[in-house]
Amino acid sequence: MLLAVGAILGWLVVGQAANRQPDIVGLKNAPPSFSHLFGTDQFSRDVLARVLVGAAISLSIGALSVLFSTLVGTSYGMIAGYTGGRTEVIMMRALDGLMSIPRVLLLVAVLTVWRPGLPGLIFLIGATGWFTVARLVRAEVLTIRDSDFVVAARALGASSRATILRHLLPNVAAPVIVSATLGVGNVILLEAGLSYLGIGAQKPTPSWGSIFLDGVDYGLAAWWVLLFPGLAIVATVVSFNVLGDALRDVLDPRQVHLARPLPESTP
Amino acid sequence: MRRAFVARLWQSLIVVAVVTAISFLLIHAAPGDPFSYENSRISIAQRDQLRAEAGYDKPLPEQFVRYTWRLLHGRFGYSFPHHAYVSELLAATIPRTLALAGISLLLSFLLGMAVGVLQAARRDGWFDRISSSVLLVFYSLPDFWAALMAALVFAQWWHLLPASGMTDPMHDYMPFWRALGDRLSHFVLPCATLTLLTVAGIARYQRTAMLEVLPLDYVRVARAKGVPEKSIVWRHALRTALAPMITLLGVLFPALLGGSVFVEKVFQWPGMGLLAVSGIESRDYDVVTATVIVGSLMVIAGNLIADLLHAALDPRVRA
Repeated sequence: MLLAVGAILGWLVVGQAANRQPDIVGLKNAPPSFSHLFGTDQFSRDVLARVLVGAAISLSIGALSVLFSTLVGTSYGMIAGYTGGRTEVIMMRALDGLMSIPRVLLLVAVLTVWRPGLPGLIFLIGATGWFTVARLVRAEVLTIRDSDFVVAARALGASSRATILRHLLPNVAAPVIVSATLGVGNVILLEAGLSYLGIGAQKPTPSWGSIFLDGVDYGLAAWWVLLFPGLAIVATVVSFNVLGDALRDVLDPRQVHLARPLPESTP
Repeated sequence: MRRAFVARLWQSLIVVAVVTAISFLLIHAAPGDPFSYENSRISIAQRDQLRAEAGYDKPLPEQFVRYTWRLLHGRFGYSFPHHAYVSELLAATIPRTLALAGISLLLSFLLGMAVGVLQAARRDGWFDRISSSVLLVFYSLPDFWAALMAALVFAQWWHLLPASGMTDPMHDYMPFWRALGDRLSHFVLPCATLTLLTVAGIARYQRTAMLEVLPLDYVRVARAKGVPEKSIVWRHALRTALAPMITLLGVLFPALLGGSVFVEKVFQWPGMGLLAVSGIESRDYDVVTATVIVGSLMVIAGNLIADLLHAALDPRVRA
């Protein structure tokens, strides 16, 4: 199954190499045919081309946002977990507070009044997604903070924080990688939804969600404009989820033996 | 325990205050204001006058103070596009969203837990594998796409259920039972879609929780004693596995509020999500701010309740 995942992912990644720009031809709203595999939309753009370009866009938005949120979240979590004491408590409480704002509502609100371009979008999605990572990292740090090798390293005079981080970081990496992989899937879903509402990628940028938005007006008549981007999203997200699960099985076998489950990195 | 609870309450209040501040600042600090649009129907002087009346020409800190003051009095502001006070709009829409999200959550939990338990009971059996794959697909569906597909299939192709709104236009004229049926039929699709999306996550979580409980010693003892398998799984093991599910509630609630935005948009279900989305087109600052604040309030309240439940279920948690 892992191979199937790799294959799907590979196909999707290679797909962006065919970065054909959507161009206007004399065909309007044509159903899928041999010359246009996915049909055309109301502006006579080839849907297949748009979906492929959309792959590049959605994937990069996903990857970059997750990169950002992982970096921020990991740093925050490590600092919180390692410092301990009052600082940690304050930091975690702040985190709890921030987590109580529903992500979608906040994004809707902020994107309504500020209309950033793609970089702004990536920043905002990343900025709202680092909380779970932070919590995860802090939990991990807590479990290894007092283990022998850390204590030994400090005793040996490695008191500079940088060195400690070099010991902690590799051990924290495993769940972070899993969380990041699953996170990309979630971000893709999120970004598609936001674009569908009109506050994500703007026209004519064909992120999968905005292809959708264009097609919604024609509903049943031009169902292919709705179906294919949707399928693309599903396929991609499924692959990421499967990949994430597989990674988790590989990297973190000890989870199964714990008496109580660790908090999961779910949406 | 009471002291811990009171402390939590205080913290929650602080969180609410901070969230309000953040929401307000994020939204009102943006360039422009609700009156920035060029509108040929009113003159610039009139527009500036409206802006002054609504208070948007004052410096930001002053706006903030005024807003907070009004908020404490329960006034969320005025929505120009809707020609109504935001509090009224909220009062109308929140119950609808709560109904949708609440029932979906309930159904998701019941279904999800059942599925998760069954999966764990016969691990790697045919049910486990098939349902895991199916659930994985559901988990990966985009909210709005699932909703649209459901609307297409059930409303347009099969003409089974209505595709949008909460009631039929003729609703008020229908006899009671017909009206009730009408409401229910409008409720089914959005609720089902929302449920489907959440079930997957819950089932996966429940499965993991159960898998960790089942190998434990007391379960084996019970089995050795001859307690029937069904009772072991559904009563003894499940009770222990329930606790982490409560924590899941805390994580799910904000996600559900977010997800309902998309579902409400597609099905035109007149709830809070739709209200928020309607603010997008029209730059409705007050509505949008209020949505974020109220949403956070609901999440915080939900978390408090979840904590209470958790403490009630698990004596170890009580401080």
